[in-house]
Amino acid sequence: MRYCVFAFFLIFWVTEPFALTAESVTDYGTDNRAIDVEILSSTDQEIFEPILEEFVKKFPNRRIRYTVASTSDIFEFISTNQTEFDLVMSSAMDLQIKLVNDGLAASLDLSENLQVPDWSVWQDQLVGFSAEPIVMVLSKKDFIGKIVPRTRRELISLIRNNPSFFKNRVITYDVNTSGAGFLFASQDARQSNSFWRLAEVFGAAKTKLVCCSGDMLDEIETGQSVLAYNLIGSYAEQHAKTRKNIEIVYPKDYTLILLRSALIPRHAKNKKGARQFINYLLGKDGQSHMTQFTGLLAPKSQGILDQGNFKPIRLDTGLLVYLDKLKRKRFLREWNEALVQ
Amino acid sequence: MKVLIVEDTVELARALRDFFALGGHSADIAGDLSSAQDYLSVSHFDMVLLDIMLPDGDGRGLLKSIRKRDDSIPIIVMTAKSEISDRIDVLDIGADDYIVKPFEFAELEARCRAVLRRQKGQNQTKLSYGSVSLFPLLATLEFKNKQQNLRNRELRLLEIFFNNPEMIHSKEQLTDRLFSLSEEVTDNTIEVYVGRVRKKLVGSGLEIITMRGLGYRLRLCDG
Amino acid sequence: MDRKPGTTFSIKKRLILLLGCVAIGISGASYVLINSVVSQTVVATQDRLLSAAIASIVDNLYSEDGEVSLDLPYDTFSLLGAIGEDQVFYKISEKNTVITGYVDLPKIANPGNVLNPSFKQFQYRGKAIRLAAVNYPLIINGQTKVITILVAQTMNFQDITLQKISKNFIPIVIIFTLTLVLLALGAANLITNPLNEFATKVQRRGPNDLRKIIQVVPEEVIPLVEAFNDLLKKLRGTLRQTETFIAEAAHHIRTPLAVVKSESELALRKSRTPENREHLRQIIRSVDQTNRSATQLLDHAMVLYRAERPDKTGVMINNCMAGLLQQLAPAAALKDILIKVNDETTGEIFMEVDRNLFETAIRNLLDNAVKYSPVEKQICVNYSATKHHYKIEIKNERIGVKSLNFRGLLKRFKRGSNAAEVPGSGLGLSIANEAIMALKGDLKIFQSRGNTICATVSLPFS
Repeated sequence: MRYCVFAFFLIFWVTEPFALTAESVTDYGTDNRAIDVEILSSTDQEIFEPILEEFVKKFPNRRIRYTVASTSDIFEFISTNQTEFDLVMSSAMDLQIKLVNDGLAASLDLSENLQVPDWSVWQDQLVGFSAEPIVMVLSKKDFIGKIVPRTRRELISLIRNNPSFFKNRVITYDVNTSGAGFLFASQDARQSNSFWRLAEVFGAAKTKLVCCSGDMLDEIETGQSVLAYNLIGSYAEQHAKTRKNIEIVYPKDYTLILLRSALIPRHAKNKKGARQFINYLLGKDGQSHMTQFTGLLAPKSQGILDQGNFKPIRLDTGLLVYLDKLKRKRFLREWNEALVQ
Repeated sequence: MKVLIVEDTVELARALRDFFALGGHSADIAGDLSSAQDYLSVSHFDMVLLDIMLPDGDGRGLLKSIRKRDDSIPIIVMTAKSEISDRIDVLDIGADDYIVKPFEFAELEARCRAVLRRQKGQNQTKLSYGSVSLFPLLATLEFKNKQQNLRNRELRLLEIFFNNPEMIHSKEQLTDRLFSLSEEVTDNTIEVYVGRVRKKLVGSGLEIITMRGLGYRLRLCDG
Repeated sequence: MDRKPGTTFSIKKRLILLLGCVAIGISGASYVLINSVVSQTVVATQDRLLSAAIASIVDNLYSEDGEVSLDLPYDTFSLLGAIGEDQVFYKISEKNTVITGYVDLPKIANPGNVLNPSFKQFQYRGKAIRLAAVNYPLIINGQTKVITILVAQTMNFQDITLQKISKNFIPIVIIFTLTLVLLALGAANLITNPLNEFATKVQRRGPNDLRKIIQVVPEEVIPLVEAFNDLLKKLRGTLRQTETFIAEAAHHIRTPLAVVKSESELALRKSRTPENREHLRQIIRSVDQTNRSATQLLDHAMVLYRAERPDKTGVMINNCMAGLLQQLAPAAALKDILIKVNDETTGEIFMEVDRNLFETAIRNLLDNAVKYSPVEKQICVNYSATKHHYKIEIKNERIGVKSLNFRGLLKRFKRGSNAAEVPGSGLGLSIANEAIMALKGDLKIFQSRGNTICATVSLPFS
């Protein structure tokens, strides 16, 4: 039933200018069928696999090709290539909103009985299918006997008061290059007025800037870093299963919630197949399967709604603002000033 | 018998008077209600023949006033109207009978006879000849204390003879008087009735003789 | 052959059509009106929102390091998209240089100012957008530069709102139209119901019933009812005249006949000449015939007249019979005919009949019996009653009974085979028959033993 192909290869789409770097391409479904649903996603294949397998079990006439790439690559590609992929899933909410605002998305034709709340749907063209807390991760062994910071204020005081402890041992996204990092940081700046102080404190601690959460988790595991800031919770939890040094902190002042969202490009070839998939994913079976087997939270789950400190990033046109080049320029300039001292 | 004829059609009134005269009765004619009242107040009549439609009113008015006076004089009403309601009316008001114009004399005669017969205390009208008495109202023939009942035609035949005894009555005359024109009559028919009457007169001292070619005659028997 | 009265239109159909059109007209007008009002309101709201957005953008626009700097307000953009999940577009430019935003937003001829932006509608990227444009003077390096700020939204909210109105409107229109149609039907019924009721009442009237029609009707129908009743009154008058005429005719025919007859009879009694006598006899016969015809024609007319409107009253029927028989007695006596009466009823019987018709029928039958009976014979009259009928039976010997066609006897002007011997116009039995039929009864004539004819009359009690 399943035929796996792991491949790192450059795919040149000859006629289009932008070259998409695919991190992995995997096929799901009955072998002898033709691929009919092309999914482009920023979520790791291992994490999303249970959903894909369940889908092809339920709809044996479908054959899926699941291509993974970075969020920025995805955005660039889809901005100019409308026909190659049928479904685009990305954790970069702002980039997805931009695609929709620019009129590049088709209607999802969502069915009536969805398991996702209204606030996770935008214009029937973009829908958040999973909710992810953005967390801090600590090196367990390094914090034995020490107070664990639960709020950003506490974190700021802690770092200020223990400069040597934290020097060169804090790690976070480089927002210049990471779309996700930029999104989290800009949302942070919106939420709290202590953000810029935190940024300065990070700068003073000579915080390491990396592209990916994987890198951050590796450093925490080895103890090279004692604190990783603004990580995607599901990744952290996944690693925490096997890596014992990882301690996850859901900040009490506020924990941002990221929505992974999906859209169908305007001129996608197999909109029907894409719609079938997305409706499955958003339905009762899909969402429960996802929660059980992938570690991704459903947006409607009680965990999200009850927690007072959970602040879902709003899926609306506000997200466009930080994509504005002037605004972005301003933000990056400040951020760089703070962190790169 | 004295009859008061109340009728505004002069010809008819006169014809009726003549008819009564033939039968040996006298009649007076009143052409309207007021003259009728006059006659009644002046003379005594045995019967009134009253026409309903009179120039000065409805005959029923007179009828009512006569009866109101408690006068039980026999009244026969003559009417030309078809309306049964009129006739019923008339009997209810107090007429003894009614006759519809045009009528046969024979019918008038029969009705008069019937009405008179019904009168209480009506003196027995009698015709006599020889020692034989004929009671037209009772339709009986009496002689030598023997009473015989007479049939209608027998009675009428005898009436004719008794009214004019010793006179010759031709067959035709008798036929015309006895039978209505609608009846089938042969030469013999009258002879049959004459025969019957002859039988009834046996032993009465009267006989009817046939006079060939002339007719019949009632006469006293010889010897 | 009756021609159907000309029909031009149906009140109902016209009313329905009229009110249907009115309903649709009003609905249409309302729809257009509401749509336009709502559109204007929504656009006005949108414009205000856009104005506020521009104002807040302008607040965040300033010069820095000799350049235009813009700190786009996050919440403004959030709000701009919020209401209808609209797409949001913006462009900041200075003269022809685009500083930031969607470069392909259309140019505006004369943008307004912050207090009074200019608004325009465009098609952009396949959708209708509402664009607000403002010129803002910004001092950069001592120079005043005019910055043009464009903010636009798609018009989803308006579309959604208008769709909602339409969606809600259609059931309202349907209900409204249906209500008006029902009203139309109701209104039409208000008229047609009393008219139909009136028509039914008229229909139910028998040909005899010329009484006024009494019905409670609306004001507007009163003229019709009154006119109709007037007509009935005139008809009654006409009929009464006919009745009077018949009565008058009798008198005017019969009195002269009576004169002729009486004179002729007198002459006959007095005359001695055989030829004269024969002439006179002929005259008398003719008069008789004329009289009989006249009588029977008048009787016939009377029966027909009464058959149309019988004058039913309570009658003591046995009493009636007795009266008729007494009337007959003299005529019978003339022919020495004995009338034997047999009353088989148990007492007086009360019947609702038209007395005239009854007496005419029985009188004609009895006259007929006497006329056709040979002299010195018997006529038997029996009358009896069952639960439902009053029965009269008249039996008499008849001259030439053998070859009588009984059926034909009752037809008008038919005379029996022995009629040649008996003068008479032959109407007698047919009149009796017609009168009995008008009484809803039954007459049968048949031959009994030997030469005897039997006529039976059966009259229903109700």
